[in-house]
Amino acid sequence: MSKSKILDSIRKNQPGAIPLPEIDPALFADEGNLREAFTSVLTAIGGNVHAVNSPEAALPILKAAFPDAAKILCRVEGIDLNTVDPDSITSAAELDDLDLAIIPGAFGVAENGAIWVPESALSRRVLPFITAHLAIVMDGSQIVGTMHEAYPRLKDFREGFGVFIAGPSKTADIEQSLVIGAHGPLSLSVFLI
Amino acid sequence: MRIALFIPCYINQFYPQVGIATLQLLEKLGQDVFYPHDQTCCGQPLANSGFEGDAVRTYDLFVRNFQDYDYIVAPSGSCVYHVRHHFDIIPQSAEVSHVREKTFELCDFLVNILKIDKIEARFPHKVGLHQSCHGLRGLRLGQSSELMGPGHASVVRQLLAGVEGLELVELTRADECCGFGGTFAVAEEAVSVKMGTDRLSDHLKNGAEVITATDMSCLMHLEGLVRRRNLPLQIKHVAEILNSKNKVSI
Amino acid sequence: MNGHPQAAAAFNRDEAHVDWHDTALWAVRQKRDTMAGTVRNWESLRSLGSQIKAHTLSNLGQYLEQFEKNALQNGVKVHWAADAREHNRIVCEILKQHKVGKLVKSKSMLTEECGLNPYLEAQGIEVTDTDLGERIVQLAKEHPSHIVMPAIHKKREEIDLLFQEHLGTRRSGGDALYLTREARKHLRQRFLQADAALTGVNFAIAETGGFVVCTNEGNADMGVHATPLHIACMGIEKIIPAQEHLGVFLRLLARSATGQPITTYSSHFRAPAPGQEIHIVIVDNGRSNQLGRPEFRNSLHCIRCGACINTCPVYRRSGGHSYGYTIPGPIGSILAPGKDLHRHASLPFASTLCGSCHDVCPVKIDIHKQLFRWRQVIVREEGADFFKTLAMKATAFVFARPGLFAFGGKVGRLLLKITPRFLVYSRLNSWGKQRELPAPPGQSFTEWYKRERG
Ligand code: SF4
Repeated sequence: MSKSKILDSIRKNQPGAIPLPEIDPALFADEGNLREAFTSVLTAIGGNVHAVNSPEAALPILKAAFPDAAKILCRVEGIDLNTVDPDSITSAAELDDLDLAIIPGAFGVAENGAIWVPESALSRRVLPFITAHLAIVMDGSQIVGTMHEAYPRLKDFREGFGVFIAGPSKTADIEQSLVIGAHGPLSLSVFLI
Repeated sequence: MRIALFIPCYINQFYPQVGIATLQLLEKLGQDVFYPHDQTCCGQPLANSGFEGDAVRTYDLFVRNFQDYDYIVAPSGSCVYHVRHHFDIIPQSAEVSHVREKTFELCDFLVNILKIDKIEARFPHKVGLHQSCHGLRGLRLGQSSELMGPGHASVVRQLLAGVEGLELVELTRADECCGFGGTFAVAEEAVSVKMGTDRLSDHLKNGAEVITATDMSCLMHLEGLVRRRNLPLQIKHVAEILNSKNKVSI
Repeated sequence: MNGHPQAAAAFNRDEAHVDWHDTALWAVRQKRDTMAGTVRNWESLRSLGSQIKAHTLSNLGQYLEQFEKNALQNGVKVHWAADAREHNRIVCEILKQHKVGKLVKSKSMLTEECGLNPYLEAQGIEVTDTDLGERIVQLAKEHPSHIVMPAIHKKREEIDLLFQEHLGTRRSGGDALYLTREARKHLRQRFLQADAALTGVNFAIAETGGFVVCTNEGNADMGVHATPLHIACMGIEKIIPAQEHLGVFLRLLARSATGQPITTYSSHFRAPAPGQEIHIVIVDNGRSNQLGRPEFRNSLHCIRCGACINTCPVYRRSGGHSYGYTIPGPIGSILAPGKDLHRHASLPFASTLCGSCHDVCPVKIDIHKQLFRWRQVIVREEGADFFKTLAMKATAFVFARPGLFAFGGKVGRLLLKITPRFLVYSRLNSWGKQRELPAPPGQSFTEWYKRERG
């Protein structure tokens, strides 16, 4: 009932047709090396970026960075660090003490350091948020310039959930002082292959 | 070219020297300047208070006074903005449209109509430019700090930069509002005063000896604060600085 | 009547506090400037944002229906609420059906506008705001003073005390890192114990039936993915036509809001996870009326970035609570009168019409012009107080009569000259409380001109 009431009111009040503008990505494209731009932006927003030749090469870096990580869930082939069986997890609470999650990223965006993570890359949607530390492994050639180039890549994306992740979780709600690590991960490491 | 001088009501009554400076400056530049005696006000004080309807007769009078001139020039961006943007509630006759299009703020007129980029003037002081909002963001006399990319330079800065001996000081906040705002100054006295004193601190901190602006209304507010607090600042309308080689005495 | 001027004057009694507040917000404005400056053709991007919104509003009915159809196909449940009361009732019913006792919420100004929290609490549901700033104001039993930084008015020492009392933290002198970590632990428990999560919606996409929620803290996702029920509440104006338009708005939003290139998380929801339900509540609550007011229509472009609030010289010096409305600052001052003209009649006057809000707004809402227009509506429909009306009518009378104007000016200047100071600067003269009046000159310009030039 309210639906028709609302829609009637909208139709009565909305103005005559106004055209939809075209977006021209070229207007906003910056020159320069995408990988370098991506790395510098992501670093500026609190991410740790590593250039590696293969997923395996991330292994020693991760071990050195998280020597005390006891509970690790890894979704990237070639990195043998799993201490839990992803399929055995039945609730978010079981991941509360997860020290490290390692997941694949689909592509990155140079202008803002964001990485697209589709649901299919995760065992559960909560994974990249609940973990204490997050590592994303990504093909370094898969970086676009701006968001205008990112969305065409998602044209056929049909999954139920996906997220752009840009850096570790953060807050500045106490007198505007920036604190890295709010409700999500305390750190983000990105491995560019 | 017949130019009519529009001297806003409060300048007429309280700051005649600003009107005189404007007149002398235009004459010095060889212009034929006329002053329609029957002018009063643009109606802005009424409209900004929500009494636009009551301002209509003032608008009509304004148009009658000025319709026979090629240009109307005023030493106030705010009043010009009002004529240009808010005279839309009266029927748009040819006269009304003409007056709205041809009313110019002084610096805008000098730079963009008379195409003058330097005025012979001397003012050996450190000057802080207060960028009055209606001139800056309303008439786009310069590019506001919110806008990005290459914009056009401020016409006021440009003229001041050409004045001999004048040193423009850079402010920490280039174009924050002074807090005058017409009846706002009275209705929101506390915030208005705080905004004004914050502006003054910025000018003082950056070494200004004189504050200038295109609008005497902002300056009236700032001057009121300066005088009450005995601050070491002088207040001068931009027309007075640009006319500083002519002697004005009243 | 108590309105913005009174509250603002009270705020200004502590000048050091005003300076602190002003400085904090100005810093955010500066970060926005820096970040916007790095984007090529920023002004074209703003134009695009504005045009897309204008187009969307001109097809709003169609896009909402398209959105609903696609959302339903995705397995999402859709509800429509005409007003705040219906919104609250719908949310409560969904929660009751799922036997929810504990709800975690991420930031949603809409639910603030609807007064959802007190409504649910009265029904025995425990509501936890999980955005750190919102949690702070919730514990303090206050309301957000800003739409992006809800606790911007709170000093770290106050937060320290608040956490000692409610979270049992130690005295830290307001150590932000320590307090944030403690809040993380406290809220982590709430997430894991909750039965349902409620979020706002930043953008709803007609083309896909999906919607996007942006946070930095990750609190929306923590709640949503840890619980089996997700309720997302959105105003009708949150719709955008297609996914590609997200590119424009996500580029504008965080840069304008906090000077970040993008929020940490931009979560794209389309369908529920296995075993989960998603409900969307589409809320009008006065928005379709605003759509019908051509002069005020584009206030519905707002993407709630808060940039106009940060830049507002009046907001920074009067504080968010002085506005007495869910959404403070310039944008609040043009939205509030559309909801309740009488109650919010002082807001359109709480501005110098400096226009900074318009130039900073990522979707180019001409806020200063709408403030001017609301003033006319208020005087027409609500009237002004007796003295103001009298003064304005008298002024109008004089301005229309040049002879009277000249005479009045002369008398006024004379009076100002001969009246004793204590009378001129009496309590009735609010100009003169902290300011001198101009020194009256001997003659007006007109008098000078007639004498000198004839
Ligand atoms: S009005 Fe514009 S600047 Fe203000 S919150 Fe809305 S989108 Fe942001």
